[in-house]
Formats: sequence, structure tokens, C-alpha cells
Amino acid sequence: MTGVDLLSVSDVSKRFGGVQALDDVDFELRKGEIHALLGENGAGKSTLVKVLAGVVHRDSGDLRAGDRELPLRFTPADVADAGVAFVHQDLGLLDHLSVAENIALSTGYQRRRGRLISFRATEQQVARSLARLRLSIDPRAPVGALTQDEKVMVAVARAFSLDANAIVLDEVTSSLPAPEAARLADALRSTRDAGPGIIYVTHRIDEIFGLADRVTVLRDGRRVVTAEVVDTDHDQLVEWILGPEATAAVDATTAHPRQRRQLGAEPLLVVRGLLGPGLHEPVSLTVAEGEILGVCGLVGCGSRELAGLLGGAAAPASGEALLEGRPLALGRPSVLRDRGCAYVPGDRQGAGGVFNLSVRENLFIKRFSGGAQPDAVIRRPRPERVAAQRLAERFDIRPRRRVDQPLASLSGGNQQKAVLGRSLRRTPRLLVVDDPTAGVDVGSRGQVHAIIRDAAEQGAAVLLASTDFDEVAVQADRALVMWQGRMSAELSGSQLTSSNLARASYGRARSGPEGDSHER
Amino acid sequence: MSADPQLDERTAPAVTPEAARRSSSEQAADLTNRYGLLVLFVLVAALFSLLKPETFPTLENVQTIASTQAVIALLALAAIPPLIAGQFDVSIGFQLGLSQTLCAGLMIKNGWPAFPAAAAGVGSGVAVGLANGLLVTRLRLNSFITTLGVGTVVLGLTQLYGRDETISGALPSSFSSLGQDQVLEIPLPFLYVVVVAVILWLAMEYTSWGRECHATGGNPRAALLAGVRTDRVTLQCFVLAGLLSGVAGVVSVSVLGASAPTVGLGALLPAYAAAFLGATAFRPGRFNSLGTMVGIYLLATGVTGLQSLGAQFYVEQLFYGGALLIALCASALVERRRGGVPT
Repeated sequence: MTGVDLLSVSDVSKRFGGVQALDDVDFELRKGEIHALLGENGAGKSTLVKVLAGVVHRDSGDLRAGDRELPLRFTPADVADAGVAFVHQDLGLLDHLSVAENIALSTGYQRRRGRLISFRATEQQVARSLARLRLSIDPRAPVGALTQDEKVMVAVARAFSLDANAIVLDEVTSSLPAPEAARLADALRSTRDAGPGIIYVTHRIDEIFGLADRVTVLRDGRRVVTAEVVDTDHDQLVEWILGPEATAAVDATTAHPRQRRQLGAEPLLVVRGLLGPGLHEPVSLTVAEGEILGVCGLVGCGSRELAGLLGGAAAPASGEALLEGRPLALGRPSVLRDRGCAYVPGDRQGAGGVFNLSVRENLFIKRFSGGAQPDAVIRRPRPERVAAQRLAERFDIRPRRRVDQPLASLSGGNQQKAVLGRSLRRTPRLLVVDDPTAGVDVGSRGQVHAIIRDAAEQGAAVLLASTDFDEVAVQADRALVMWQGRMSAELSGSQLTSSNLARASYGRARSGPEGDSHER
Repeated sequence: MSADPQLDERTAPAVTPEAARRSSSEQAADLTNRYGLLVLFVLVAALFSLLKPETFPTLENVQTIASTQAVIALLALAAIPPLIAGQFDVSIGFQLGLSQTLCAGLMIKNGWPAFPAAAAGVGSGVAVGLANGLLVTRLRLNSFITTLGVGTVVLGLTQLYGRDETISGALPSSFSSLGQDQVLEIPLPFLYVVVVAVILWLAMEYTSWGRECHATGGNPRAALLAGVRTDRVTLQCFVLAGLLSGVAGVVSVSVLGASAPTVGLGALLPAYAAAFLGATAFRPGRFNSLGTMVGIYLLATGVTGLQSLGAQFYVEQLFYGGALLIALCASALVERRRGGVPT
């Protein structure tokens, strides 16, 4: 068996200061297999990937790519020579260039005599390599026009074209809605005949079933297990990822989803005829006090834009929103915040955190009326620090005592909890959250959901926009499905399942039994 | 609940001896970051004092440096608010020139009393700052090139009024004493710098407004969505920069007893060099007024010291330019260290 390993890692350790990031980790990638790598943020996944990529040097242990031993210190170029390619979350594609050009930038263009580029020959060559992977993507299409799963496959095809025999996919699906992730899985499975092995790094447990052959789970820098995927199940994987004692805590927060809350009789939020960027038909909806309304669909369906309009990120072209009967100043975030409307943007990097400021400063950016610390005109650091530590405690932002370190130094899940903490420190009347758990580890995911439910229980109307159908199915009391900038279905009660949401998200033809909400 | 003991267990490593050692070495690095510039200042002063013991470490020399650099220091402080809000204002040097020429000209050529002339100088800075701020926030223009354009127009206006000549003559004595008197051997202009720097420090680090400025500069989109009126904050920063440049112009008239049309332009580079040097001190990674003040006096001490050793005139440009580049590199390194934390 070991003779056909494409990549083998044995007893690899890596230490950063006081943190043992990898502790005697073993891992091997066989020829033709898809090997999933799972673990919480901080479990060592990204360190292992960085060690493989030659970005971080291991302290000890052996590393072999094919028949080549890699020394303790090697460069990314060495590992590329050994036939290992990496596809990272941002994919490294240029949106304005065609598929063929994106691939040719790495592999080289086909040339005419006289060394000028022949675009036709280049396209034909790329078409051949796409066909070898059984991908039906037009080599002339601009990459910007492709769906996210197609983009991932273009990045994979580029890796194949570079003669890679081991490809590491590093959390490429963290922004992918379930149906697209499923299509990607199909495409990846069909490439297995071509020979290379794939290491599939992910947060999302469900997507590895039907995709991966084997799975390795890391926890606290150690390998917990390597197992055949068919021999395991969701609950087993969760236990491996979180550890036996932590599983109980997660169960406590997720085991009773959609416990019927007492919803207010009158709608708290009323939206009428809202039109704006990304919305192609007027959107009308209502959310009751204490209700979590899910809005979901494929990436680009308009759910993010709808959340942005209600959160203040953009001004609507027409339409209105009323909170407690009074109109909201859409398009003016500062006024919305003063009205008790909280918004957690989906783009945490671009619109959520101020990463060069400390966690404490991020928690108290805006001064709310009231006048007492930490909302006074003069900020006294000590009371503010105490308030920040209290929030860190309440929202479990780790490390909890060190609220003065820059937000950038926290893990993705903790950054998200800090952004939530800022938005929710004063109990909101309306909470708009957009993809709150994208790129967030399993443990934090449960906590983020608990925080959102808690806001609803305290009487907020919650609009949960998400491309994660499981999330909407479990967390929302009712869900609207969007398709190409329109409302296409409304699901509630027993109809609200992730498979119904997924089916409804593909288009209006198969919309749910409740029909179009805005046409009634 | 079973959650709590488990959470404690996970946070426990924070108190292991290993982590404690790590955090003490982190603290040492932090101290070096914060006070390195101050130590460098002391070292430079000590070096020239050793090399030129008769002329350099004298009260007179210290007073001269403190008062002649006050104008540049005020200008450097003027650069800080826009920088914190994420904008460049390169018109501040031209604003200084306008304010100076107006203030001196109105008093000497037109016979205005001191107070209205000074108010006109400061007011001209505020007006230019407002124009900069409106262009940048309303039309979403790039601040660097916009303020360069505005600044060039301001220079033209200054030349129109001042004929590009040095305006000198009798000033009201109450006015010149503002720039030339001393309190307890401390020149008044230096006191202005200290007062402005401290007020700016308190405003930026200990008020809600300062927090909004920092958030706007750090991530304007996130600040806006968190409820900050980012356009208003940015506009205010440009106006504050204009106000401080105007003050610098008025102070320069009272120190020099005249207006010199080239002062503002020459001061722009040292002002920015000091602002970036200052961003490596006290609050590493962010622009701050106290660091900027130390930066200005570090540069001035270095240049004065080199000149006292007989260095040629061009040493000043080499020194300021070099210091700006070093400050940029140092800030970039500090940023990298603060940002990159292993998982």
C-alpha cells in the first residue's frame, strides 16, 4: 500500500512559540483517492497545508512527495517540482480573462511561428485538458462569468495541466452553496480516473459524504483518526472533530432547533416593494417579533443584496421598510443603528471588522446615545476594557482576557463572534445577518447560531440570509427562497427542510407549495 | 452546564510557564516597539552632545531647535487627522504658506490688527480644508491627487496676494511676543506644539470621535456599516488639518517676524517623515501625535547635529528623505509582526 502513496507525512511536528500546532502528525495520500482533512479552526489543518506548501518549515518528521524526500526546509517551488499543487480559497484566477488564458498563464501559451501567441491553439489545448477532466466549460468564457464551482474546477484543471499528481484543495467550498458544492463533488469524483490524489480541506462535514474516500481528522495539532468515509457518519465525525467532552456542549446548543417560540401577533418588520441593486422584482415580506426569517438561495440569488438593503449597506431604488410601524432610513447605516437595527455583513473581511484595531476598539466603534461608558464621548480605557471583557465572556470571543490585541490576530470564528458582539451588545429590534457562519469552525458555528437565537428570544425580528441550506433549515422559523433576484418560494413548518430549500433554489419551476409570496 | 469546565480547560494554557515566558518576550518586543523612537532620540542627542560638548548641549541650542521646529511640528500634527482617517493631505504645506502670507500681509501691508489677521490666516486653512474634504467625500476623489491640485491652486493664490516676496516689517509687539517669548526658559512656540499634540492625542485615543476616525481609516466599509458617518468624519479631519496648518502659518509669522514664501513647501516632507516615524512609536502601527512630535525633534536634532559637525546643506534633504523611507519600512515591519499570527 505504501508503495503507491503520492504524499506521505510521518511524525511531523511544528511549534509556534508556546503553541504546538502539529504534534507527530501522520498522513498519507494514495493514488487516485480523495482524502478529506477535517478539524476545527486551530486544529492544525492550515498549518499542515502550509508545511506541505513549503510556506512554513516543520520542526521534525519526514515528508515524501512521490519518490522524493523533502528536507526540513524547502521552498514552494521544490514542492511544485515534486508534483504537488495547491488551490486556495481565493483560487487565484483573474476574472476578466478567459478560462483558456487563466490556465495558459500558468502552463504557457501556444505560439505561432514568430513567437506571437496563438489564441486558437491555446484554446484548443485548454479544451483538451478540460475534456480530460470531463468538464463542460467553454475555454473562451471569461472566468468572471462562471459559477463558483466552475471556477474551482478551472483552478483544479490548471493544477492538472501543470502535471500535478497531488492536489490540495484548501477550503475552496467555504463560500459555496450546497448544490454547487454537490456539483463540484461530482466533477471531482469524475477526475479520479485521471490518477491524481486530492486532499480536500474543509469545515463542512456533510459535503465529504459521497465525495471523499477517506477522511483524516485533526484536533489540537494531533491526528485523531484516519477512516474510510463509508465506515463513518456525521455524528461520529463531529465527535472526532470536537473531542468527546465538547460534543455534549454542541448538542446542548443545536439539539433543539426551532423550538417554537412565542411569536408576536403583529409583524415587527414590514417590507413593501423593495427594489435595489441585485433585486429584479419588488420584494415584500414581514418578520414577527422573535421570529427568525431565513432567506436563502444560490450564490448571486439576491439574498445577500436583500440583507444589505435592510442592513443599510446600499440604498434601495424604491420601496420601503417599516419597523414597529415607522419607516426605516434605508441606506443610512448610522440612523439604522440608532433605531436598533443591527447588521452583520456577509463579507467579514471587507465590511465586518476593522482588523488593525483591537478587539476592544472593534466592540465599541459607534457611540450609542445614553452617555454612560462605554458610550460616553470621552472613552476611559479601563471601564471600556472591563466592558469588552464582559462581552468577550458573553459571546465567547477567544482569547477572552486579551481584548487589546488586534482583531486580525483572532481566528475567523472569533472574529465573527466579535462582529456579532459589536452588533448585539445593545439588544436590537431588528437583526440582519448574512452568511454568519461562512469560514467559521464547527464549534463557533453552534455558538453563532445560539447568539442569533438568543437575539430572537429577546424580541428581535431576525432576517437570516444564508447560502447554507442546513443552516436555514435548522435555524429559521420560516424561510423565503430567492432565485435570480426574485422571491421564488416560501417554506415553513414541516416543509422547511434543507432538501426542499435546495430544490426550490434551483428555480421557480420547482417552487415550494406555498407559492410566490409577493404575488399574493 | 458541562460547557464551563471545558472552556476553562481550553483557556488554561494561557498560564503555563511556557506561555508566560512567551508573553514576557512579547512584552519586551512591545516595549521596544513603543519606546524605541524615544530611545533613539535620546541616543542621537547624546551622540552629538559628546561630539560637540561646547556648542550642542547648550540651553540656547535646545531653545533654538525647540522654537524653530515648532512650525514644522505643527504642520506634521496637521497631517495626522487625515492620515488616521485613511487620507493624504499634501496641501497642508501650501495652506501654511497661504495663512502665513495672509497673516503677515494683512498686518504689514494693510495695517490690520493682530487678532483679525491671525484669524484670517487660520480661517484660510479651514476654508481650504473644507474644500479638500468636500471634494474627497462628495465626489469620491482620490485624496492625494485632489489635495495636490487644491494645494497648487492655493499656492497660486498665495503668490497672487504676496507677489512671491518675503513680507517683513513692523509687527504689533503683542503678536511677535507670542512667537518669541519664553516661559521658564521654554519658548512659547514649543509649548503650542506640546499643547496641540496632547489635545490631539486625547481626542484621537480617548474620545468616541477619535475611535470613529481610526475605524474609518482602518476599514471604511466596516466603519460605515457599524454606524459611523464616515464622510462626515473624513470631512472633519480635513478641516482639522486646515485649521492646524493655518495655526502653523500664523505661528511661523510670529516666530520669523515675516512671511517667507518657501517655508511651507520645504516643511511638507519633514512633516510627513515625522508622521510616519511617529507611527512606529507609542501606538505602533497607527499615526499618533506624540510619536509625531518625537519624530520631528529627532529629525531636527539629527540635522542640527550634522550641520554643527560641518555637514553641507544637502545633508538635510538626504536625512529627511532617508528618515521617511526608514520610517515607512519600519511601519511595514511593525504591521507585518502585528498582523501575522500563527494558527
